[in-house]
Amino acid sequence: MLTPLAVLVGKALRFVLRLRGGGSAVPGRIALLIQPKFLQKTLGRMASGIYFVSGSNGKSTTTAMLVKVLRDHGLRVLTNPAGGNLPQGLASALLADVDWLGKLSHDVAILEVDEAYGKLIAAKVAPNGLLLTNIQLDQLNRFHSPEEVFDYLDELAKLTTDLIVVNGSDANTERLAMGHSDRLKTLGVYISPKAMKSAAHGILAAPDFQNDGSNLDEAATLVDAKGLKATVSIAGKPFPVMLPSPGLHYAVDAALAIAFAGQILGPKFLPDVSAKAISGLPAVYGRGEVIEYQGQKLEIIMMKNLPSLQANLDALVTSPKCVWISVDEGTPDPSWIYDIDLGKIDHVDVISGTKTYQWATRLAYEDIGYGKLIESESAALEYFLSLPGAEKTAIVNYEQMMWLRKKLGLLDLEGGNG
Amino acid sequence: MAELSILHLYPETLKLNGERGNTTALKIRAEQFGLKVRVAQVEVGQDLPAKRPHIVVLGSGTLSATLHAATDLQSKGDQLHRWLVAGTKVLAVGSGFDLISQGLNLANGGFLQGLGLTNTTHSIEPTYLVGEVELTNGIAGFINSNRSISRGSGAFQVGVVQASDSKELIGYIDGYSDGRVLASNVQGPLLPMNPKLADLLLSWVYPKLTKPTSLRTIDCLASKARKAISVRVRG
Repeated sequence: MLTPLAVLVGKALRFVLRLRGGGSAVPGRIALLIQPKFLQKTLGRMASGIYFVSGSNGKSTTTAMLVKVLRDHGLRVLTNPAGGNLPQGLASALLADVDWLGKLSHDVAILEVDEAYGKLIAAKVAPNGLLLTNIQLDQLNRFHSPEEVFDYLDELAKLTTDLIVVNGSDANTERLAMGHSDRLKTLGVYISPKAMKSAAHGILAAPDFQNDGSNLDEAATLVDAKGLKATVSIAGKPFPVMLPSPGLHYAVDAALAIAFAGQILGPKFLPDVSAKAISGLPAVYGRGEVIEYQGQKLEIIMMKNLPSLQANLDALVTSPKCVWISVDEGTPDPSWIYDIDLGKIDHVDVISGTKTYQWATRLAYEDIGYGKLIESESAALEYFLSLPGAEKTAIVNYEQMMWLRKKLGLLDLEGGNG
Repeated sequence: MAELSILHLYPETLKLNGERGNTTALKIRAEQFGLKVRVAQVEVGQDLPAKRPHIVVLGSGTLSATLHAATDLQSKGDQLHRWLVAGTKVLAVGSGFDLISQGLNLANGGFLQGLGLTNTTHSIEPTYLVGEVELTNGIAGFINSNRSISRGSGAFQVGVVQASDSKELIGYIDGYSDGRVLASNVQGPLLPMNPKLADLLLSWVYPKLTKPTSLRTIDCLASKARKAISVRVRG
């Protein structure tokens, strides 16, 4: 009886909160309070299995790609929304799809899970397979060190039952998978030297001083990456893939998604269907996403952490004409901005958020002009939109990105299960 | 024109918290002071330069990165000690501070021998202290450390945390400063956010430097960045 009650209350809350344009995790949190086994009761019946996607960066993009590939192969795929990868966020996503008894009609679940919380979800519903994108410098105020992230993901791998596919060119995820080769099918997706050179700073993996240099069996190879074009090879057969946004990081995400789909689908996997699926995807929030607003094109570049910002900056073809940086307490310690190669950023027009002066100091040491300093993000947005030109670039942290999306009237904070 | 040579040790291995910014701050400020600046970098496995640098900079890394650097650093210890005797100054932040201390007690019971440039002995604790901080002397930044520090005699600390968004950090005694070695667990990074520490280090090399007006803008921005931290941590 608890599950139908959790569904009823959760769905009602979800409806109300979506009308107000937010609160995506709250309904899930309440559903879990009412029925602590909500995840087991709903997800536990998936016929073709449950698969997790985790890692420091690229989780959302890779998950979106994987889901699209599987759907285009005819599978009914359940997934969770970008950013909704904590237990309560996942429960919220499930509320959108379960019937009143808590039943789902999907074939397979593809879930993006947080590095630390993934094992909590896995303890309730063990994944059949795990896809790890990378281990990079990320949220050090929370994780302190990439080594802590390694340990979290290692725990997650221990709870996985059949398969682990990782970015083999990331020494940490390669070594992590290697440690489970006696129990799981372990495969790597490798990046060719040519593809690696396509980005000024490569794949920006965290250093690893314990990798012994041995390789995993290959699930796929990213042969080449240039702008929107990538070439992925599976079993020695290369095929082209058009990316939703340019950049080596998207090409790696695509190769990982295709390789993992190949493992899930087995003989039913079709390279051409997979490539076409990925080419039809829109950019994920804050990863090269362009928002049309009042006749202006706003490209949003998220500065979640050093590797994500560096990868996005590396992918810029020309210097942005009009730039706004906005960072708040969602990034408690932006020390890492001193390790960013700002490359094509030759000026900034306005800086806002609580970290305004930390960013301005950084730019001043680099002798990069920084325009106006307006701590209020609302006032800064107004000023930014008033500047001449129709193509603008906003470099924002996650919290500022969500605020901005809401401010611009984009209320689809959840999504995924169309 | 007087010269300033900076040797950044292990810039790729020890760069957890943007410590390249410390070298940048020293370089830019020294240039504004009218010095001709040369920056050299030495990674693990590479030889030290033949010529003694004025300042050696060490950043922070993960534990495995620190252990990786420690082995190499020990092999360079004699040369570094000779340089210090000859007048070289050292800036060490985070686990770089561990490496130049008396040593680091590891969680597994082991002990990582340090260079012994400070009278501090460090220990890895089970929990991290994490938060924005304002220290005595107006120093501000961010601490993210699981090290406790036991100190020998003498008051060589850089500062004491007066306010923080983490209660556990209040009263935390940070760093080491003796006119030859400046070490700290404050990030931000330390020197760009706290230019007076950069200038202090430069004054140890060239005591009669006069601060140019060209640094006013940077100093004003850094001051406002510290002020913003102060306002946040004091609620």
